[in-house]
Amino acid sequence: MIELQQLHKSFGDVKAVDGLSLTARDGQITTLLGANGSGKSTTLRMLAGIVTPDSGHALIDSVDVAQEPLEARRKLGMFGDQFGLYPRLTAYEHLEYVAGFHGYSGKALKSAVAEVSDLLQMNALLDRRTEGFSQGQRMKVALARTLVHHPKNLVLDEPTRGLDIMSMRLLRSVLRDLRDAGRCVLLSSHVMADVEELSNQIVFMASGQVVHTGTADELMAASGTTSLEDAFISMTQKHAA
Amino acid sequence: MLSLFNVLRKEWRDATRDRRSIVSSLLFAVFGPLMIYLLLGSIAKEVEATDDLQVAVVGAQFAPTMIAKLAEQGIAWTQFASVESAKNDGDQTVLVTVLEDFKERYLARTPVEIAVTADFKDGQAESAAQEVQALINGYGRKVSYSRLIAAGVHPDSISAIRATTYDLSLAGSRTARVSDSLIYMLLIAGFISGSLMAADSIAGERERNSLESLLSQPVNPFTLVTGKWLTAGAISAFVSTVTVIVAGIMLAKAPLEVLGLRLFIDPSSLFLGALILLPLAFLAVSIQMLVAARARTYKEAGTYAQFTLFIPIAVAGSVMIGNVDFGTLGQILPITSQTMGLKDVLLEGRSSLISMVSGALTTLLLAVGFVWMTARRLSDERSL
Repeated sequence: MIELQQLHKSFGDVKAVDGLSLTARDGQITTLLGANGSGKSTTLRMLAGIVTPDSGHALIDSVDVAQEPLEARRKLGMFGDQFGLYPRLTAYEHLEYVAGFHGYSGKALKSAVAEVSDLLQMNALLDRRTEGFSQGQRMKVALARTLVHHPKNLVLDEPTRGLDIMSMRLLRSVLRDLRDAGRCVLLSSHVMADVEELSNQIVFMASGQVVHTGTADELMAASGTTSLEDAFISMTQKHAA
Repeated sequence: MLSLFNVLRKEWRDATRDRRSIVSSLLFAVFGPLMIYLLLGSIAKEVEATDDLQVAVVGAQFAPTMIAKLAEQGIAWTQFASVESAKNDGDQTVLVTVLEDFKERYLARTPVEIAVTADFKDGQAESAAQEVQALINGYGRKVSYSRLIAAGVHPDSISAIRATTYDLSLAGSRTARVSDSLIYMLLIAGFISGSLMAADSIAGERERNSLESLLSQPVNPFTLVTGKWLTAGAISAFVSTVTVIVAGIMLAKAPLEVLGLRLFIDPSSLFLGALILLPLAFLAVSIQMLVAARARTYKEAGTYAQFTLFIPIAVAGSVMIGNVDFGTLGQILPITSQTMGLKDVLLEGRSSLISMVSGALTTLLLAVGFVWMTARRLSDERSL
C-alpha cells in the first residue's frame, strides 16, 4: 500500500506539490490524472525517493521513503516516463542488473527473469542488445525491469505514452493481472481511455493538489457530466477558479 | 558488497563494449609514444646534419696545421680567396678568417685572433660556429700546453679548476625537452584514456534517461559511483600501462646514443613506471567524473573531462620546468610524487619505494574523496 500524507514540494517559487494526500490500496489500480505541470511526476519521484519532499510523508507498506529510502525502494517497482535503456547491454543483462540490486543471483535470478519474460512475451528479445529496439520492445524491457524483483507496489509514470496498439494492449493486460494478483498499482496518465478502463480509483490533480478522488462513475456523478473527460475539465476548472 | 559487484559487472560490460572509447584511448597509447619517437628521430637527423658542416676558410694558407687539425675533427672546409667570395657562396654555414699575420704572431707568442662568423639567427649555424670555435680553442690550448712543457711548467699547474661541459650542441636543450615530454605524455595517459568513460558515467546516464531508473533502485549512490569509478579507473590504468610498454618499445628503437640521451627503459624500469601511474589513472577518472557530473549531456561532459588534462600538465610543469621546490611533500602529494617518481625511474635509473607507496596512498585517498563528492552530487535531486 502506498500512502502520501500532506506532501509539499517547491522548486524555487513554483509549488509543484501542495499538501497532497492520497492512499493507493493493494489490489487496486490508482491513477493520477492531471494536466502537464500538475505535479504528477514530482509526486511519483518523491515516492521513489529521488526527489525529497519539503514536508509531509510518502510511505510504501508503512516504510517512510525519506527515512529509509533503500528499504522503501526494495518494496517498489518504478517505471519512469523514459525507458532509459543501455544500448550496449542485452535485455537479459538489464534484468540481471536490476534484480542484482534486490539480492537475486544464480537460479533465483534466472527463474525471476524467465517468469517476467514469459509474462511479457519477450523471450526472443532476451539475448539481444537493446540498441535498435522498437518503442514496444523497449517498453517490454523497461516493464520487465520494473517487475523482475516481484515488487508489491508499482509506480508507473505515463506508461502508455508513445506505444503502439499491441504494446498498449499488452501493458493494460499485465497491469490488470498484477492488480488481480493483489499488487498496489499507482500510475499517472493522460489517456482517458486507459484511465477509465483500468482504474479502480482516479485522482484528479491540479496545481499540485488533489481536486477529487473516486471511481469514474463517482467522478462523473459528482460533476454532473457523462464523460470522464468532461468531469476532469469541470472539476479542475472549478478548482482553478 | 553484492551491489558493488553488480555495478562493476554491468559497468565492465558496458565499457568494454564501447569500442569507440576503447579505440580512441588505445590510439593515444600508440600515437603518444610514436610522436616522441618521431621527435627524437628528427632531432637526431639534425645532429647528424651538423656533422657534415660546410666551413668556409679565408686565409687557410696562413695556418695550414690548424686547418688540418680541424679537418681531422671531421670539419669539411673550403678555401676562399676573400670574405666576400665566401659570403656569396650560399652553401657555407660558418666562415673562419685567418689573418696573414698569423705566423708572425704565433712565433712571437702573442695571441692570434681567428674570426668565426655565422648568422646566429639560424640556430643550426650558431651551434656549428660554437663547435668550430671550441675546436680552434682546443687546438690553441694544446699549443699553449706544449709551450708550457717546453718551459718546464706542468700544464696542470695553470688549471687549478677545470670545468668540463658536455655539449650536445643543437640537440641538447631539445632533447631535454623531449625527455620531459615523455614524462608529460605518461602522466596525461590516464587522463586522456579515462575522459570518455568518465563523461559517460553520469552524464551518459542522464542523457539516455537511465539515471532516474537507476536512482530508484535500492542502492547507495556511493556504491554506484564507486563501481563506475573502479571500472573506468581499471581501463584507464590498463591504457596507461600499454602506453608505458609502447613507449619502452619505441624508445628502444630511437637513436638515443646520437643524442647523448640516456633513458632507463629496461623491463624493470618500465614496470616501475607503470606501477607509479596506476593510482594516477584512478585519480584522473575520479576528477573527471566529478566535473562531468555537472554536465547535462555526454558531449558537454566530455569537454569538461578534457579540461582536466591541464591539471597534470600544470603540476608536472611546475616540478620540471618551473623547478618549484615541493620538498619532501613533493614525494607524497598526488601528481608531484608521480612526476618525480617517473623522472627518477626513467631518467635517473633510481627509485624510492617509500615515495612510491606514500604517493600512491595520498593519490588514492584524494580519488576516494572525489568519488564521495560525486556520490553526494548524485544524491542531490538537482542532479536528475
